[in-house]
Amino acid sequence: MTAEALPFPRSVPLTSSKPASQHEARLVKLVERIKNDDIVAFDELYRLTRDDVARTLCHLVGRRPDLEDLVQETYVKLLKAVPSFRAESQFRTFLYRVCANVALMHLRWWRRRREDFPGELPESESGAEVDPLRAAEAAQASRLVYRALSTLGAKKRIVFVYYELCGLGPEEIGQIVGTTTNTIRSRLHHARAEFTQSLRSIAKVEANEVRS
Amino acid sequence: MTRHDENQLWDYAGRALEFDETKMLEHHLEECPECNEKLEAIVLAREALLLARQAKPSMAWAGVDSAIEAVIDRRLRSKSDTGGRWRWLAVGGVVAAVSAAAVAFFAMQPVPLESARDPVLARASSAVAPVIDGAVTSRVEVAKGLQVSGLKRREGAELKRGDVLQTNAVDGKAIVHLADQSHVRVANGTALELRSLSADSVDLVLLRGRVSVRASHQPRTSFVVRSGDLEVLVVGTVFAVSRQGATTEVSVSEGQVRVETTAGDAVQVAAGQRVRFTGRNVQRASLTPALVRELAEVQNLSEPAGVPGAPVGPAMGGPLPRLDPSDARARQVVAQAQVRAPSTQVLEPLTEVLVEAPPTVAPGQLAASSPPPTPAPEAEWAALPPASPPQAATLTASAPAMPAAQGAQAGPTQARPMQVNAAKPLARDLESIFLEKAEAALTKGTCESYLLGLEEVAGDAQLSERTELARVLRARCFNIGLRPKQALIEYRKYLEAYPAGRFVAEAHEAMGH
Repeated sequence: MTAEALPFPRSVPLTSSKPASQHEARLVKLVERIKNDDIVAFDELYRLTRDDVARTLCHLVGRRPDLEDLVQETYVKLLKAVPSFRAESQFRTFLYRVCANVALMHLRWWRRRREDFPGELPESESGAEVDPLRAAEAAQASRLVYRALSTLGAKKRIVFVYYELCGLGPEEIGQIVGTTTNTIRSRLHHARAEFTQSLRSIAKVEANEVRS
Repeated sequence: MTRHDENQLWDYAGRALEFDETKMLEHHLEECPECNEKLEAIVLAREALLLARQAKPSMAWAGVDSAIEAVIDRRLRSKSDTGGRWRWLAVGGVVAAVSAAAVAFFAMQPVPLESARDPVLARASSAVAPVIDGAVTSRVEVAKGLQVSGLKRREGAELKRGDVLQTNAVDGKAIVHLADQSHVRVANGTALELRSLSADSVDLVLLRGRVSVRASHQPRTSFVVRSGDLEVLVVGTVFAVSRQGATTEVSVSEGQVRVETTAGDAVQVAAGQRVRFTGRNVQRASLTPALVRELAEVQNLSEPAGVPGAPVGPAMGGPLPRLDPSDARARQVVAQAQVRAPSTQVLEPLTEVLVEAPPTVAPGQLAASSPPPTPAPEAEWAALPPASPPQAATLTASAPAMPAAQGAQAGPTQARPMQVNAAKPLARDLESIFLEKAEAALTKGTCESYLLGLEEVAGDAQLSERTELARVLRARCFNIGLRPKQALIEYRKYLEAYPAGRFVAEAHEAMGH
């Protein structure tokens, strides 16, 4: 079985707690208002989507000190790009495309500077988490995931994050990054292999450190 | 399965394989230790991803919020400038055409200018009349830096359902007279949607910023101010609602407010108090001097006499009438407002952090020569004494709305209606003390908790040395807090408001001019 032929059934739930269609319809209405020069609607759109955008960017680039700047940049780009939204795809796809562009630029810039991963890992706010042991486990898992993600190349990372963490399908990711579904499947195949290997080695190193 | 396929193992770990495929893979796993090892790593990765998926990054949203608001304000300003240019071009064109026509016909007949006017201007002009066909309409009474649905508007402009009022962030301000004889003061940097404006029903949506409302006692079906997930239902009172991001503050200077959620929690707020709602948390404090001034301004707004079609009601020229607490009718009429979450949303129980404001300044104390020091706005929330048991009890029980007059006797938290003329000097003095404290905190590098209060002072529509200093202090505070973007925004606001101010050099230097 080749990577291209994989079925990829989705088991990942959507990040929004509201019914997707209702939420999507509300966002599309706001976009229409923005297109009609009602800039106040943009404020509402920002309030509705900012948590999702922040979480996605955090997955895509890791917890950087300038994550807030990236969120801001995403919305500035979104405001410019909104007139080109024609409702042919979901607004969520459109928004994720802007996020992906911002993240890609950032990851490339970061790589050019050849700086190591800053080590400032995500401080997770688990709203419903009350059990401290569970919260500590979640924080540890997030830390490992972000370290493993940082070893992936930018393109593979984007595909992996959108598929595994944001719950998008290969077709939707293809629309976001502007490539074919087969390419997405191929990238996902390699990203999964690299991620698993790197997670395993990171976990092994950490376990050795704890023992010593 | 004839060879090791990692993707199939991922699907197996996620229980996404068909029954036949699962059986085949399990059979393969029995005899392939390499795949077993891989599967173990994949299960670990899936578990870690599941946990990471739920993680939410902690963000400093205040900075991002203000940056986005600045983007929106810039867009609004540029749009209005463009609109203004086009209108002037249109008027210029009309004037040129009229002149040409006049020359051509040797001034035989004056050209009817009215018919050739720009339709936008014509609309604005006709909208000045507050009364159309005997019906009372809503209109703008005071306008400074005001846009209505993207177009600049001045005093007298008529408002209609669906309009969005926006005041500019620096010195914008508007006072709106509603059809039900109520008044709404719109502070700078505010966006307010007028969802319904009839004399029978008023529905306002606060998108951001602050509004102060003096609701009339006219009989009507509803008067609602919405802010995020909260609804303020009004009968007749003087209060303000402000919204910044997910935080909403309700301040009451006249009457009483009852805060409710669908979970059945209730919080009583008396006159002279303000309550801040942040998610599931509720904090109380007393009114700030700036709020006292603002609410007093709204409270003193007079009603136009003899507006045709206006429902008959109590005289609204001065402060709202004081009613005898023993008067049963008074309890029905005066000052009850309910703040509640929409019934469709299930909220978790409110957590009241602090209860009971310090004693509010009584009218007699207003003229005192040495006013008490004002706590820093953020510290002020934390500096309040803990809840008294009877009041705390109202937070968990869905108690009925306490009549305003009865609430006025409840204890030290109750405030008398504000005395406008006397309060102003006190407010000014308190502001200067506050600014001194903020400056002192800045030198120690502990100014973070003063930021909100500084914004309140800096946001005063009446520009003065104090507002100027407050704006600069905010910029400096952001600078030492390593938030250069916010500092730049503050300096930009400073330069817009005070182009020849005392700290222009500092602002230019900070902005790299």
